Amino acid sequence: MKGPLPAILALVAGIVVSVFLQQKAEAIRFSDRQSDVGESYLKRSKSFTMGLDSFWADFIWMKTNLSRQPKMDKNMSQADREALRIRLAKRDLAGYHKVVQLDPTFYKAYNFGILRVRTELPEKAIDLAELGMVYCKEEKRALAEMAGHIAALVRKDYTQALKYYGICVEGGPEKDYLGRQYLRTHLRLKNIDPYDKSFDGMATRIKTYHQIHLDMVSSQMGEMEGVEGEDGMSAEIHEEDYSDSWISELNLSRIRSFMNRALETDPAPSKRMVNEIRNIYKAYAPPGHHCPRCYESYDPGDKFCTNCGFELVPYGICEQCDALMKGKFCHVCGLKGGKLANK
Amino acid sequence: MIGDAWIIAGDAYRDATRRKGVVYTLLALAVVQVAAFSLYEEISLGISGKMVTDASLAMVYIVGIISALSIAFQIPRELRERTAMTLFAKPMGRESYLVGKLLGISLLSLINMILVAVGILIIMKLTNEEMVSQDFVAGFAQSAVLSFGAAVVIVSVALLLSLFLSEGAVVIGMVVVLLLGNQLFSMSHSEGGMAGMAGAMKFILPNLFLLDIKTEVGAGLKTSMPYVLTSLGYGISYAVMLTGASVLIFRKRDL
Repeated sequence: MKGPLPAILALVAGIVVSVFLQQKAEAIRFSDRQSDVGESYLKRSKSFTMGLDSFWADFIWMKTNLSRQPKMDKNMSQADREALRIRLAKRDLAGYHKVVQLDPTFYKAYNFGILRVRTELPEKAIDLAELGMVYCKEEKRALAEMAGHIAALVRKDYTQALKYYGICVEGGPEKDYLGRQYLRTHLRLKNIDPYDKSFDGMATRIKTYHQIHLDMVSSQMGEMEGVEGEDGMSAEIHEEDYSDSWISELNLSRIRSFMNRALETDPAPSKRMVNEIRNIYKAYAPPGHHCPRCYESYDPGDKFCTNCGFELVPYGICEQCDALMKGKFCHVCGLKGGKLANK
Repeated sequence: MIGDAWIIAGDAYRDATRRKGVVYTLLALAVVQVAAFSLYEEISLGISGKMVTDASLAMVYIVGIISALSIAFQIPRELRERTAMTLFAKPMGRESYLVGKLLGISLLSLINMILVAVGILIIMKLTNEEMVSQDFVAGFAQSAVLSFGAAVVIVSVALLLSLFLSEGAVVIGMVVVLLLGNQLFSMSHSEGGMAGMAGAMKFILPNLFLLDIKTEVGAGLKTSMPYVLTSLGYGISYAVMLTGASVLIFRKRDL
């Protein structure tokens, strides 16, 4: 082919194919990112970096971290010092924002930024954590933990703190202290002192935690309503299916200490309070055998509680000779296991 | 025509490699990168792996773009000094000249990018073996392939600009296209008044954002193979379109 025809063909084919492939590529890219960071990752406003976003993000990250903090003048007034600290915090925060605008999955920038400005600009630190939670899915709990601490300890905003600690304990807390922090924040919102060591204080905490547990179960059951099972039928809901057993486990240890205190206290605490706690215990009672007085667990053959000395109903022993059962038949008298004194 | 174009391509490749400025710049970049490898551990505050990845991907991309820049120093000079006329005096079409330049400089970009990418991966393997996993190499290769697509697009843009502008102006034009081309995607999806204009510009200027997955690879996000192939296809078809336009303009131009 001679003449301008090949060039015209190339031009027309190029236009058609490039327009088609451009739209196709955009759709695939959105679909690729949908599952991990979401569409907003691609739609974020960009700087003029000529395609070197992450490279510039690293550069600004280093620059922000290594930026010099001017020395405080000894003659400076307290107000001037405070103003300078806030100005420097704003400057560094702007740097970290620039970093995460260029590279939204840059977890360390969120982490350092939050820690850098948590005392001077706590609201901004929480905003930064919120932004990080959108893009850093794997570090969402760590960012929520930081936001929760700032809300609870710096801002004393327990409603906000509860929201973030709630994220930390979704599906069970990875760290025990976060579960306790979540429950303590609940107590603070109800104006209950979480560190009250008195007998009444302990009882109040146990009852409140039990109520929180019940509320969580009922809210999760509410969320499950109408959800269909694999067979297309309505899913059957059981309380034990829910992921809040950590509250009952934590409360169980509190109940044991409470009962030990009740046994030691003189004069004895009100029977009503002890009975209330016993009822809560029944809701949490783990499998196995437990002393009915102090709730310490006991082993086969035990006749007295090793914690409080209470006389127990032994189990796992031969009805005839009291020997510890090791199998289907008693190894001392040969009695068949069907006659075991499992009580 | 194809045979003639390959002769021009070989000539363009050799001419570009003879240019000391480009070669020295690439060498300097390689030295800086290797030297920086040992520094990252100290200055990165715990993110040396991410920084090494980001810098390496950026280096491959920059090498591709700098190689593409060399076309800006060939065509305007050859047209101005009229050395291109000796070629046209032979039974060789003007289209062969332009296509040859495109192929030659694209080949230069490809070879330089492969050299840099392989070199970087070898150094990374020697210094931090754990980091160079199969997934990492796959992501690195995907990003490098798309960077090559961007380099081809830039070569085709420079080819068109070289027909009208001087060397300096072509370089400036390429930088402007690089700046705008990487912005178009986010601008067209923004909520401001620029969205409509940017949406229309996407069909005129190259949408280079589609050929950039460096940030995603640095963050460990996976990109599907269909995306890489579709985007590369977009880059090549855009280059074909621009080359077709350049040939049509060049045919009519009075030299």
